Amino acid sequence: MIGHRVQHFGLRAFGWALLAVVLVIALFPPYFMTITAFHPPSLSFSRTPTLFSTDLTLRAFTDLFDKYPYLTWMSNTTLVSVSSTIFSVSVATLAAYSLSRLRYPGRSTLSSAVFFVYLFPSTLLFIPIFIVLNQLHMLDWLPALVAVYLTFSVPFNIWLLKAYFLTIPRELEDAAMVDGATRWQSLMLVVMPLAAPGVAVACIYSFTLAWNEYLYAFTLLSDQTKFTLATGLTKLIFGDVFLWGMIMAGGVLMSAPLLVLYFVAQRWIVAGLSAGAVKG
Amino acid sequence: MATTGMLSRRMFLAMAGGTAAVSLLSACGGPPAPAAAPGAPQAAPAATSGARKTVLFWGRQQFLPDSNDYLTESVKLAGQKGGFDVSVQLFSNDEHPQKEVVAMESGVVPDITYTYAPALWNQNGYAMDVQALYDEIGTAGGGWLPLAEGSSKIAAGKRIAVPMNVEPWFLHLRQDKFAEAGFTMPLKTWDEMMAAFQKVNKPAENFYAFDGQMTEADWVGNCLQFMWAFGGRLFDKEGVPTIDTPQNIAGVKAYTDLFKNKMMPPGVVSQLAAGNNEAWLSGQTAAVSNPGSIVLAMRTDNKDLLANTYLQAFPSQVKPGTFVQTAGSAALVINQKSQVIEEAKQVARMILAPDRYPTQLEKAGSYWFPIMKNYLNLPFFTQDQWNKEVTDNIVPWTLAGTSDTGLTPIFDDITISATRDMLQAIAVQGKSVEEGVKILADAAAAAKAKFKM
Amino acid sequence: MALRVGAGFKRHSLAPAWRARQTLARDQAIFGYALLLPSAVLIVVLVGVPFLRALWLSFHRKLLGSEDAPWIGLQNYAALLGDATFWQAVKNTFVFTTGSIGIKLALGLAIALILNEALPLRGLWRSIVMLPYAMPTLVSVLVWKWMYNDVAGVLNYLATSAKLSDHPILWLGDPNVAMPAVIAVNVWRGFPFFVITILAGLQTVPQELYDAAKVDGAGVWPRFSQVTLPGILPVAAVTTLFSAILTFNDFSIIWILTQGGPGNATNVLATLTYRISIPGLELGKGVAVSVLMLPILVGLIVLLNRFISRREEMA
Repeated sequence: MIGHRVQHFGLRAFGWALLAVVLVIALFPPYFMTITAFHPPSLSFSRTPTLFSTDLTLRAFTDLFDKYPYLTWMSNTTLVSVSSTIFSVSVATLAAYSLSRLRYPGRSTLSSAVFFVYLFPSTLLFIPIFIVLNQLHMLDWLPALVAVYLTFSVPFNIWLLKAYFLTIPRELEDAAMVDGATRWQSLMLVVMPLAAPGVAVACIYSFTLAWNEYLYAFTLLSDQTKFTLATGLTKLIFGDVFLWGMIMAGGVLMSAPLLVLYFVAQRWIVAGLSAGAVKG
Repeated sequence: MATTGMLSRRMFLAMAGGTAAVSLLSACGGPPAPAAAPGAPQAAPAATSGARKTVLFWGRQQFLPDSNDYLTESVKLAGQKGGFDVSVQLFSNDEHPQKEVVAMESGVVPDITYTYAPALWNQNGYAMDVQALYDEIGTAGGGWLPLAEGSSKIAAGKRIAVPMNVEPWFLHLRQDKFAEAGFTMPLKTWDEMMAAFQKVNKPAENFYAFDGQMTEADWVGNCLQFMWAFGGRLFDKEGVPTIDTPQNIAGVKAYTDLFKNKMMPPGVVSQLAAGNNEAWLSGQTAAVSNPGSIVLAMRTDNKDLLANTYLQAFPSQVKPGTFVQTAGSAALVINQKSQVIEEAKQVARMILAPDRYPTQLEKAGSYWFPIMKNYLNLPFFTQDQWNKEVTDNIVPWTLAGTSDTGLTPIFDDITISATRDMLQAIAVQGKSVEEGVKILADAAAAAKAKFKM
Repeated sequence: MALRVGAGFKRHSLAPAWRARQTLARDQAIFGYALLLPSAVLIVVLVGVPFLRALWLSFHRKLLGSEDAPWIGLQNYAALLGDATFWQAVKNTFVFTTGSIGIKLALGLAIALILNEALPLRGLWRSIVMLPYAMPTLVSVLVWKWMYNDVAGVLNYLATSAKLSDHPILWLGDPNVAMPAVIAVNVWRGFPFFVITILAGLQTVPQELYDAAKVDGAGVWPRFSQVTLPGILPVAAVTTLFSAILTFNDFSIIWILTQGGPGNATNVLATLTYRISIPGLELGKGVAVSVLMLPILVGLIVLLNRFISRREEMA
């Protein structure tokens, strides 16, 4: 028993040390991004990196809002990300339910076919997609961008939610249906709550993807008032001149909402099953 | 979180989501009307006498916002005077080439565009012959500088663009460091420059003579200068590549030897366009070749360093006493498939008009220099020390990278990737200079085949 | 159909039951397909059509922007297969993908396990761990690029201050160091995703199984390998497969850091494709690069898929 405890303690200590190292490494670039966002520009070029400074200014942030329609970009990005997440999780839930609970021919082929969407790199598909959308006269139209983002997030969400649904025993649903619930009700009231961790991950994935995505937003949008935050960032690079302060300030403004989202979502991830699951 | 709590939260979210989705769709309205495609080939003739025409103008976003605003204003003024609407879209350095190529691919192209790739527009059948407009504007401006010739015509003689400016490269020299080593400005001959580099180079103190990238970045202002200094050229008059020559090999050798002999910072092997900027601004190097962005950065943030900066062109090795310098040139291309060609021409005239052009040059800072003779003596260029250095020392010697042959897509093609392959082969992979130059020559031949020229 | 007493009567009454079962199966099938319809339409229009079009293009000599695109059959493919740069890109892609995925999986698993324990301020640590995933790619990769800088970069600053090296290390300029350097950035960006998916997966493993194992006297390792691991295997496998495909096709990290250099040391298929298609304008050839890698990706998917379905059957 003592051996176990020592082994256990050693393992825990190792675990905490590893976590500490990982946290530092995870934290350093965002830390640097943040301090650069608050620096005056001259400090960015010195030969010794400035890791800490009291010479702070909000200039970079105010410049962003003064010189560019930053608020418009923020609202565009929020709209695109929120709708992308909602539609993606909804569509994926339906498909995942179908693939996990219902039986019909071709089910397993379709299951694997879902992944084939990711085979081509986006750097290749973006031109054909541009041409397709151009023919449909859907350029410079944010809902088209949402649709494109759906194609990225839906397949993975389907797989993830399917994996989750499969861990939920059918008996629970059968019990609900015996009690008079329809399939739809059993999906919404029994399965979904139990799959909450998976749903939370799907939301995080879809939202982050839409929020940070750059290539398609940049290709499909030309009107500056329709830009998202990610495309806005590219406007801060002029060939060989990088407006570091403003780029980093933009990065800070883009990362902060995501962090809030993750903080909220991670509670859902772990609280899910403790909320009254009935097993066995 | 109780299950019931999560349920009502879920329903609330569902409703919120539904509302958001509906409001998103209604806020965006339907897809924008197809009228945003004025350049697309249309079967029916354009608007009847009531409707206004629209000119779509594309350009590059300049670093100074005033410059962009003034340019946009010029385009709008042309519209007001001529009774048509305009739509102006300016793209950043990274976006612009991709936007252009994707536009050509889809057929939705602007009516007039300020571009750095006129040869490509021509290659894909969009560039109109603008000889008459070129002559007209040139006369109004007192005559074109020699650079204009090579920046606006193709080898076959068609005038595909109207140049807007000279964007020269400057050789920046740390006159304080060179003075310490016993050299005064300007450095008049190649040998003098090489001797100066030797003396000023102190790798132990992390201070190097020259920062020249070993990638495709800034190649036209660095490696090409060395090749020209040794008398090498890339093309002949007919557009035939003349790359694998002893002069070019000597030039590339001189350039890469600087790296091999530790007269360049070791990081040049992976530096991009900003690399030499950073090296200069952080005091790591005594010399760089770059367009106006470094001077502009110093004007804003580092006047001390600016005071120690001297600007000149590269001395020639084969003809001592003469100098060589490349310059880029932004140009206006008019879409020959446009429905509003006359209006597009009016936009071009307005941008380069004698009462608009001088202010445009001023607002562009040290990026743009005049390309017509009347404007060389503007106070902006004669009264500022560094602008004057450029106008005196550099502009007279400037030639386009394609000056021998005129605009050709082969040049644009090889300067994107093959130049990188050449320099990386020599600097990183240890191949000989001859082998490296051959890589570039082969790429030019492949490009020739690719464009069926 | 078993014969029972009064076969005629029974057959008559069994038939409706059988027919009802058929109808139920058919209804279920229709319902099943209907639920799939939105996803299917989306994917066919926005992925299927462009994909087929791109595939078609790979048999033509198509320059971006130009209208004519003559048929050249397999010439693009032949040119690529004979090109040393292509094969180097293949090799680099495998090194990059396996290196990144291996580390991401191991690291993600370890951190997920740790963060699943009762720790003080657990929520805070979980959020910090997500930071690399939250930062926009362009900004985070630019920061890393700066960190790797040979002159002003913090890594070299630390290395020379701590006397670990007497001269600045060319993180992105030395062909031997560049690949590990870009793998490090990919891992940094990608491991949080493994952490949260595995963390979510850990929640589905019922506590009773752990308790039962402890009662049986199982130590840490057997508990892990027999309770935890099987429980999270489906989720971990899905995430690994998905991440493998994305890493295989990952473009922006390497492009922003090294553009495939120095000297092709980090040139992967995604950067090669981009360089051939966009600056190089040869769209047909660029597509051919991706098509050549399809068999491998497809093989990966099929294999892992079979692995997962077998586990699902067993579950």
